[in-house]
Parts: sequence; C-alpha cells; structure tokens
Amino acid sequence: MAERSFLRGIRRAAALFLVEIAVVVSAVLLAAALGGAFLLVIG
Amino acid sequence: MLLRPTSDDFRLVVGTLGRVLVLVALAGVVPLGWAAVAREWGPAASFLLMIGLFASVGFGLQLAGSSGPVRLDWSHGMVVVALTWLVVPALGSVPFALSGHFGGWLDAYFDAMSGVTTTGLATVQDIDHLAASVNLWRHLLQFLGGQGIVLAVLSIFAGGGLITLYYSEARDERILPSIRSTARFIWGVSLLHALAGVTALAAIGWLVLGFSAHRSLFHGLTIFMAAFDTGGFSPQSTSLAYYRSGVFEAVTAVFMVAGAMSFGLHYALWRRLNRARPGLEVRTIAATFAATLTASLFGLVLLDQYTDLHGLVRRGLFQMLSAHTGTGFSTVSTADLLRWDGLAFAAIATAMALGGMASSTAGGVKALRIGLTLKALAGQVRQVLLPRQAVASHTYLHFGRRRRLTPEIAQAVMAVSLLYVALYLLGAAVGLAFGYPLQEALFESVSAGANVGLSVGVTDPTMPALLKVVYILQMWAGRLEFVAVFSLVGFLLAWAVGE
Repeated sequence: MAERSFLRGIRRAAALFLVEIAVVVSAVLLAAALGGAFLLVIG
Repeated sequence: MLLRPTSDDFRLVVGTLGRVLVLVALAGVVPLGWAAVAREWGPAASFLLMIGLFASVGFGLQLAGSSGPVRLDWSHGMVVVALTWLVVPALGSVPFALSGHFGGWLDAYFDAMSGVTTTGLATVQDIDHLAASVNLWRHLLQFLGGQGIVLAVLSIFAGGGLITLYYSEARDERILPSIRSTARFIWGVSLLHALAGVTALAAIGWLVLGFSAHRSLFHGLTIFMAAFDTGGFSPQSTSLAYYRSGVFEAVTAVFMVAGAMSFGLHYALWRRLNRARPGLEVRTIAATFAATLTASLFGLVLLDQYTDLHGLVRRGLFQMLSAHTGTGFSTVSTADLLRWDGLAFAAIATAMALGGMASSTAGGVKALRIGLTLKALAGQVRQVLLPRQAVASHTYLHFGRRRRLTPEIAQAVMAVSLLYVALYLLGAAVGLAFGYPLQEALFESVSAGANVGLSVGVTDPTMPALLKVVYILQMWAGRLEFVAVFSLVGFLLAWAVGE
C-alpha cells in the first residue's frame, strides 16, 4: 500500500516537472523561431 | 472617526509577531551549522547573536502579548504581517552588518529587505569573498520570504484567526479546504522542488562545471532558493554568467518558471485536476510573455547586439524569463544591459512591471490582475456598444471554475494595478531627482517595486541614502501588495488620533 502510494507520488511529481520543463522548452522554441526570423529579415 | 486600538488589540498583534520571530530564530540555526562546519567563527558568532535577538525579542513580545488563544481578525492579521516584514529584515541583517561587506546598517537592512521580499537588488561589497554561511543566510532569507514567513507559523499553529495572516501575505487563494492543509501543501511542493532542484544543480556543478562536492552543494542550494522563490540573489558578483553553462541556465530557468506559477496551479497539476486547463491567468501570462519576448528580440536585432541566433536566444530569452518571473538573475553584465536600448529596454521593463502569477512567489502587478483589468475594460466597451436596456454579464475562467467579474472585483483589481504604477513612478521620480537618467531611474524603480532584482547599476553602496530608503519601502509595499501596508498605517493613525 505504502509502496503504491510512493509510486503514485513519484508519477505525479514527474508529471509536474514535465509541465514545467515543457514551458521552458516551448519558450526556447518560440525564441529560436522569432530570433531566427528577425535575424533573417533585418539582421 | 477612527477607533483607537485597545490594549487587547496591541497584545494580540505583539503576541502573534513574537511567535513568528521565534520561528525565524530556528531558521538561523541553518547558517550557524554551516558556519560551524566551515569553521567560519566570526560569522558563527554573528548568527548566535542574531538567533539570540530573534528569540529574546520573540519571547519578550509573546510575554507582553496575548496569553490566551489567538483570535485575530482581518485588520490584526494585516498589521502583524506588515510589521513582520519590517522586523525580520531588521534582526536578520545583523550578520550582514557584522560581516564587514556592507557600507553600514542601512545597506545591511537594504539587502535583508531585498532578501525577504525576494527582490534580489544588492548593496553587498566584494560578494565573491563573502563567507559562505553569510551568503547562505542571504538566500535563506529569500526562501523564507518567498514561502511566506507566517505561512510557516500557519503550518504549525494554524487555528483561530491565523487564517487572516495567509491572505495578508498577498495570497488570495486557499487551495485546500483547511488552511493548515493549504500551508502544508505549499511547503510540500516547495520541498519536492528543493529536492529535485538542489540535486540537479549540484550534479551539474560537480559533473559539468568541475566544482568540488561541497562547492556544488552550496551553489545548488543557493541558486535553487533564489530561483524557486524568484529572488535572484547569487553567490557570485556576475550572477548566473559566472557558470558559463547553458545547461545550468536551462535547469535554473525551469525552477524560475515553477516559482512564478501559482500554488493553485501546482495543486491542480499535482492532482491532475481539470482545473489545470488554461484559464484567464495562464492565457494572460502566455500572451504577455510572448509579446514582451517578441519585442525584446526584435529590439536586440535592431540594436545589432547579437548577430548569431545562439547568443540572441540564450541571452535574450534568459533575461526576459528572469524579468517576467521576477527572479532577477542575469547572464549579461550591467554594462551590456545598459546597452539594451529602445524597444528591448521597454520590453524588459514592461515584463518586470507585469510580473508572474497571483499566489506565487513572483512580484509585479500579476497576470490575473492584468487579465481582469483588460476583461473589465473590454466589458465597458461592449456595454457602451449594446442597446441601453441590455445588461451584459462578464465572467472569467479561473482554475476550472467560471466566475463572475463583478464591478467590485474589477474596481479592486484596477485600484491595486494603479497603485503599482504609482509605486514605479514614485521611485523613478526620486531617482530622477538625484540626477540619474530617466531610463535608469525607471528601470531600477520598477525592479524594486516589482521585486525583480535586475539592475542597471543604480543600486550601489554609494547611492544616496534616501534613495535606498525609497527602494526599501518600494520592495516592502510591492511584496505585500499594499493592503497590509495601508492597514499598518491606518492602525498607527488610529492609535495616534483615534478616539
């Protein structure tokens, strides 16, 4: 029972961190797309 | 007519303040232990003195205060919190003042206030040679402030009227039905992130940067606390540029983002609730971040600051994340930041002013207020365009629940947003009066009022004492989101002239 609860906690923590990592990855991709476009057009 | 506070009111306020101070005394054991292990005997003595001061003042106030069960009402809670955020930096600045790295007591108080308000502006001198235990205390102050000093009290003593303290610390959302479980959830999430953050950053320090094990742990611990609590203090004078590591910056950015997310969203994600789907606040912060990022990158390209994509994205994005989350870490020098002119400057200053999500450790106006203000304005326009007899009802989605945007909510939100603008302008006006250029005076004032910590060099040990005092007040008022500050002023006014 305790083991199952611990595993559920690990899964939830992993899901929470994945969302936070996804936010940063999305920001990097957005910045790369914008930066690339600006450098190409006016850089 | 103002009603003069009774002696019972004073005893309640003083007694509760005493309980908070005793708890902060316990936090002082952490840097004391570090100083003992690192054989930093001078700092160890200053931590002993500080712990003694916190404990004696705390117990003294408890003796002088209420001895019965605490029954705080709203105004008592506000006054206690406003006082706590003035007294904790005062006593917590003792190790700073005795370290020999500060120009005087005012500078030490400035940094302690900057710490507890999770701002990150610093007047410390020669920080690269500051004792590790004192540096740890700077970061621990940010952790205590970011978590909410009295939240710690709640998680232990919750009951009676202590719930008012929770709201007084600028947290407007009770996540779970009981205040004690809410406080414990917030601490649980923070400790989970601490475990992951310190481990990841220390591992990078050890395996990638080649630091020793104990140095890796120190940097992992301090940078995590400054990132997750959106504080921005750094153990090195060059902030995050010191590490020269993209991986270190990326991992730090994850915890900066986590810190700027509301604890309500953390809870919804943790429980995988439908409430996690994007509501008004998430959409607002996504839109403001995308807009300010676009403007800053466009501005940087126009300035010809970075000619390669890697430099542009790495520097531009990190600074923008740091500004919008209210963290204040920097990967560019002050001189470089000063060269971010025109559009790039306007974008980063705007991002700082807007801030993170409500009920997070970030400062600034906050995304929820921005979203509600825009929605209220749009509603006003729609009302004008509708036939005279028509009555429009405005709602917004917040954590899975559709809520009505009442005129009272719209009025309160706009009032606080306006107060933030006034706070930013006040600091900028004082900076201008002392001869600083408008751009620098405005940037630094927004950084202080929105508890960010990015600096273009105005904050310095040699800056005028009055400007230091103004920034201290800005950091204090900005962190408490004004209401607790007004309550304290009202309490004192009623004591002085009430009947």
